[in-house]
Amino acid sequence: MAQILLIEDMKGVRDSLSMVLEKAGHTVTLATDGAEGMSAAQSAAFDLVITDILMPTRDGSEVVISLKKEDANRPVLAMSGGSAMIPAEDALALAGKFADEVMQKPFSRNDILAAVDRLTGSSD
Amino acid sequence: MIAANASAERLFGYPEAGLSGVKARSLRGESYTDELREEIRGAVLAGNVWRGRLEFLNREGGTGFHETVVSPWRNDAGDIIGLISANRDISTDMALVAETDLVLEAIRNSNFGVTIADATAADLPLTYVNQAFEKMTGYAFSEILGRNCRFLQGPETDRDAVLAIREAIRREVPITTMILNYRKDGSRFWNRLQLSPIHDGQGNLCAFMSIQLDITRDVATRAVERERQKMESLGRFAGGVAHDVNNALQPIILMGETLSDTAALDESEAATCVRSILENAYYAKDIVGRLLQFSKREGSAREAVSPHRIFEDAVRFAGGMLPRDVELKVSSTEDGSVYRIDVNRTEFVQIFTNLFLNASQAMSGKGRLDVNLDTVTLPLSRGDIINLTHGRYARFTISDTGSGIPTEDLTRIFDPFFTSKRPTEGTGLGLTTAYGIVQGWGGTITAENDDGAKFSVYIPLSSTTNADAT
Repeated sequence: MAQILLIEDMKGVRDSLSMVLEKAGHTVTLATDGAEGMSAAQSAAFDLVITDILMPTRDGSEVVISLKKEDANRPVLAMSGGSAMIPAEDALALAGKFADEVMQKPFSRNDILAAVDRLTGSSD
Repeated sequence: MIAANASAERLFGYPEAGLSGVKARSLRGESYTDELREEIRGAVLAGNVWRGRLEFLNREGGTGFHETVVSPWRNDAGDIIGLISANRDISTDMALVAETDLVLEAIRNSNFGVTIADATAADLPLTYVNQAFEKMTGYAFSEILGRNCRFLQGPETDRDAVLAIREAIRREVPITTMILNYRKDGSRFWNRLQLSPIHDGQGNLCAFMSIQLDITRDVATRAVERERQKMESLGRFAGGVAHDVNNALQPIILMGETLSDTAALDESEAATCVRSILENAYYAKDIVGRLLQFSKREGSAREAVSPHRIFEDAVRFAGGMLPRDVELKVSSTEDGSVYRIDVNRTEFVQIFTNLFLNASQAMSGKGRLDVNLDTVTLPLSRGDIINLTHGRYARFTISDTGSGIPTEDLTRIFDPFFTSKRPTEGTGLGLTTAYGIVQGWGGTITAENDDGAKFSVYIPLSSTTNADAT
């Protein structure tokens, strides 16, 4: 089972996603914005980071880039809901260059659990 | 040179030395060729008089032109014994002629339409139009000579622009304006017109000169650009809605699937799932509700209401929603009876509610909210931030004691989905909606920092009506 860092500013998404991941047996650490997520990523070893692409304090794509710079081998899964500031496809393209996988919200429980297994290589 | 009079000596720059003995050739410029010299000599020695322009070269090396008459010098017997040359310096005249020619040529061939109207005659008849004007309007000069230039106006010509031109003519001041004109064939064009009074040396008004340019294509380009910006902002708006709705749908889907698929859910976990689904469903409903309000605002009926009365209503309603620790201070310098504003009551109250709640959140629910109503005549001296037509406006100001708006955000604060709030506090539709509504009423909302944030809502006053109207 994987140690997962989840960076997401929307409470509803954060709560539901962590419940799904925990029910599947993963351990989830929560961060509510990019800055908090970056400091959490530095303080502990995670098998996977799941981050939203657009958050108020730090652009999520910037978070993705920083995470990969820090540890290129740690998988990053980016999520996007589309945005008013950048067309959704641009944000996805940007994050897609650096993230290991990008998922468009809303996704299903099976989609996210399969992606987590793929990225952490844990099929048990 | 045998003899020269004093004025000839001055003319060639030899007032002291005199011209006697000076070779005639040395007094002429380079264009005075041997052929020309022989031509003159030949003509005069044959008994004729030669007239023409000759380039001179004075003692200091300066050149210019003389109008010269060369005639035979005869002795008493009538034999030609020499040449008499009479000269007049025409250099200055020639320069003037050259300048005048150039100016006339420039006006005649300019790409700008140029007209001149006689200001000394009644009703400013046209006395000159250039080719570009003929081409731009389709009228030949002969058709419009002596007519007033107003034949270019038509049914859709803006009366205000016409009045502004008339006023400038009356006051004898220049004016630059844009006016919709009509060609001879009835087609319309946008004319950028610069009109300028021409005064003579004594300061008397003698003519009006106008320079005109067909800018129809520029205007069309600008309209297309505006449309493109509108589409772009609509795209951003749609993207923002999609973002918020997707983020509301995400927990609904995940929690719903968890409820239906996961066997090992205890009662409190199941309750959490249900609560989250409902919360987010209502959140989505709220987003869609605001969106609908945004889209249908054009159809909202307006009525003439007293700014004072509706201000009281709005303050009472919105004030009731403020947390206990927000102190509300209401003031008004408007007498409350004579003026009317044309607004939709519900929307007006909603705008106030929005601004009140924004302010309350900016102060983290604790501070003072000052609201004021007065009337102003725009433009104010600092008219730079308010882009409204001249007139009287009701001004509602809402100032909070929060930390203010970051300077870089001041220009985008009315953009759809711009928000500095936490996600649970709002989607950012509020200010954009408010701004759109007030613009629809012919007014505007401005944001500035004045200790805390200060929002001013300007709404045009309709004509004063009797106090009984509501």
